[in-house]
Amino acid sequence: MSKEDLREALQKTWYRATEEETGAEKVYRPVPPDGQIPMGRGREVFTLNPDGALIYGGIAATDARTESEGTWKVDDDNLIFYTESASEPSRVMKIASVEKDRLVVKK
Amino acid sequence: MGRSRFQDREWLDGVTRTKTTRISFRTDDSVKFAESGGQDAWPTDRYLNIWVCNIGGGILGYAQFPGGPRATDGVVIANRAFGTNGSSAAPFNLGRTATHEIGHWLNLRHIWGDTEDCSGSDFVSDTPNAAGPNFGNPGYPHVSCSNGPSGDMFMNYMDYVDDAAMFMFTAQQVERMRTALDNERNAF
Repeated sequence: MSKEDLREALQKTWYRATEEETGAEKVYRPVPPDGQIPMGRGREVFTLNPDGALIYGGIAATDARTESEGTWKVDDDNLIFYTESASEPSRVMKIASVEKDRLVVKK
Repeated sequence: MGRSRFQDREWLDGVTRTKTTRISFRTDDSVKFAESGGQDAWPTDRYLNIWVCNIGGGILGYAQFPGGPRATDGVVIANRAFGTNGSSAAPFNLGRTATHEIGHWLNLRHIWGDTEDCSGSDFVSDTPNAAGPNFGNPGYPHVSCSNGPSGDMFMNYMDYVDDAAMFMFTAQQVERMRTALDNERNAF
């Protein structure tokens, strides 16, 4: 998959599907069109916009949703988030596979 | 002899039901105010308020630590993760979301210390250090942060496993909750 195809495949809102994980990888699924994310403890979500904008939804120490804005990019096989600084990545995830409805990254 | 809580009419009236036009609530505390489609708290120095509603974003519930704003003090639980019958749905139908959130309300932290490495702490001495949350029904042991041979205490109420997989607080977690009841929450 070319870098452009990879970028395009990633442009959606993903939620972490921990119930599908087996160990060394994290699994993400696209949020369904109705916006209903299945219930789960510690659901991480992120939106990767075509213009490079990122909305990252994490979980606070009280389990409330945290939301931060930033940017994202793909460098080789790495999906890189910048939410705290424009130059220092806040998160780097090595992509194992991307399909239309499934993103897998290494832990 | 004084009245027991079960004889107290006010206590028995402690469940209120509120009709709302909101399809779901975010974790922005809007459920805690009538003006935003929720219901105002009962006096939070006398009552543990538990709001039960549909929460968006896949969230099961959230809490407020001791010392926060009075108007929002309490816990919020998704209706499909509350209790053991009715609208509750597996694997979150054993009431453990309320146990977990009330643990936060009594000042407990997540057992992995809220970092994605070994640097975080739950400020409790008898829980092993852990690198992150566990999910589902983990196999034993799951070792991280050099915490072998027993590994993460994923069966603790303050981890993120399914309801059926969590069943304990430690003695020091109980002590931390008692300390909260003796201090910030001493009206209870």
